[in-house]
Amino acid sequence: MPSSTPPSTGRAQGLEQSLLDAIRENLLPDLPTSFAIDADLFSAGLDSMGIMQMVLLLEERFTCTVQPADLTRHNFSSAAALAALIRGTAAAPRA
Amino acid sequence: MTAGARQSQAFPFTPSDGFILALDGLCHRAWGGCLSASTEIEIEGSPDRDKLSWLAAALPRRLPLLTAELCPAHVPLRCPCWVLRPDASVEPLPLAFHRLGSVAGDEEVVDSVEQLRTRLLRMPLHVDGRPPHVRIDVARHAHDRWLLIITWSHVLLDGVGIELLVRSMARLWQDPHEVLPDHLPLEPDGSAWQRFQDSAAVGKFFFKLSGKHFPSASQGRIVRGAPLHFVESFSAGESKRYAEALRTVGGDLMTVFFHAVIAARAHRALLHARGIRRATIVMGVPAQLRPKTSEGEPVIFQNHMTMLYYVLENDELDDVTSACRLIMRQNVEHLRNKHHLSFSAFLSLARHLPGRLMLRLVRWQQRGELVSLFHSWTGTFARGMDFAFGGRVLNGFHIPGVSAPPGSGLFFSDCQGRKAVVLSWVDSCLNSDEVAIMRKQWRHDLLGETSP
Repeated sequence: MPSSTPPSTGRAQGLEQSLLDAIRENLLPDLPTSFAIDADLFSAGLDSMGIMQMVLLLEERFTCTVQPADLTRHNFSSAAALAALIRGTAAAPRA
Repeated sequence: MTAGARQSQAFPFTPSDGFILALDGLCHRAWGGCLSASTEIEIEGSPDRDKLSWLAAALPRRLPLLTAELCPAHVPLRCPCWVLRPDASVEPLPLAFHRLGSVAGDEEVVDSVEQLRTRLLRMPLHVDGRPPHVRIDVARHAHDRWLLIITWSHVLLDGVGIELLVRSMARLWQDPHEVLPDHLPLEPDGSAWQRFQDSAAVGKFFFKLSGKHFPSASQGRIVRGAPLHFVESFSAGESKRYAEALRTVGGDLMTVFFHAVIAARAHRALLHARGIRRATIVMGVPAQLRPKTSEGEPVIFQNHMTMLYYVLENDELDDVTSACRLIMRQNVEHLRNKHHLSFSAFLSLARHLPGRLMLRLVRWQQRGELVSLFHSWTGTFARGMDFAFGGRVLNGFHIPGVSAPPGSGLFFSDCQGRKAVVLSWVDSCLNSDEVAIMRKQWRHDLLGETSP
């Protein structure tokens, strides 16, 4: 799923926003409130430690268990991509 | 901090600086040197000797911590510090030029690059805590290619810091007026009681670990011996096969776990060859806790690491993919239990102890060992730095030194798609047959060569 694909429902929009809120709260406190759901999280400072903390966050807050095959740069590149991963519609196949 | 602003200042050790200083002490006892590493960059063309000399002189003026002295017990701060003395002279970084005999020129002739690397890694740095902590060597090994070799003390820099230093050097090369980043003085990090409480989680982890026997190449001994290394820089074709092997274990962010497993399997092969068939492998893999300056730049100097420990039983290493999955889960559990922060709190407390006492306590608790091996995936070398120091960058990697125990370490990196493996050990911890056994194992795992 391309990272620029707009969410199709209001609920979907809510998931992306929840992800951004969780990322701001736990990983990137300086993330602007205007940060777009398809904006690049790596450019905003997400690093290798942050990725694994994101994996934990997905498990604890979003009940999504990340498999090794899901651990791709694309899946963690934006809130939209992460939301797609949670919905099970990520481009990478689940192991 | 820019040129001319030389004031007396003390920079307290970071939590991980203290542990690195303790390992540095082990190296001093082993061979009289320090825990150093070298960073090697292969560049197309010919070196500009005048400009390199200018760079060696300019760097300590732009980055004063290159000239700092190590004060083992700073009284007001009650921990080791780097101290900048206003009256100290600012010497250029040591710089020497070399060439292979097959290349014409007037530089010192060396028999081989390998011989030069070995010699540089054995040159003592920061003797009695004084500069130089970094030196620069240039070696022409072909008529149109040369090596920039930076040898550095691990007490002052870590693997990420040296890459930041190389980038700063490259920026200064491009623009002599470039103002390099400030260093961030560290703030006091809370009360000892708070840190003690914060360190409890990793304390429980280590208590469980003490029930395991995890042998290393040095077999828990503090040995006498000089640093040795073996560098395997893969060709473009081999690097493609390597990348394919990496893809089989999962997504492209599995790199750290994949390399940890490859390092563990190479050491398991060593232990099997020594008749230790049911070994547990324990690895401490560094993870960065790097602060930023007020300008938002990551700080260059000092060590800013915590350690995440992976524990793998002998049979859990039979299959690379399963082992990667296991390590990934261990990583998530470490973060869930905040072991990364807890270990940093533990090191923050421990830096107030003399290094030798700290190591003695750790080794007593772990039957003489620290870990089974040192390991890190040092990442993509200078990502995006395709052109530097007057030529195209062709290759680059780090050659870290190691202490004994554990006596050996396996390190991996990538530059412009070219992969490299570096095995470092302390002389007498591995023999040439054992190096060959480990190499056969990593070539099997990375390139699919015949089963070892």
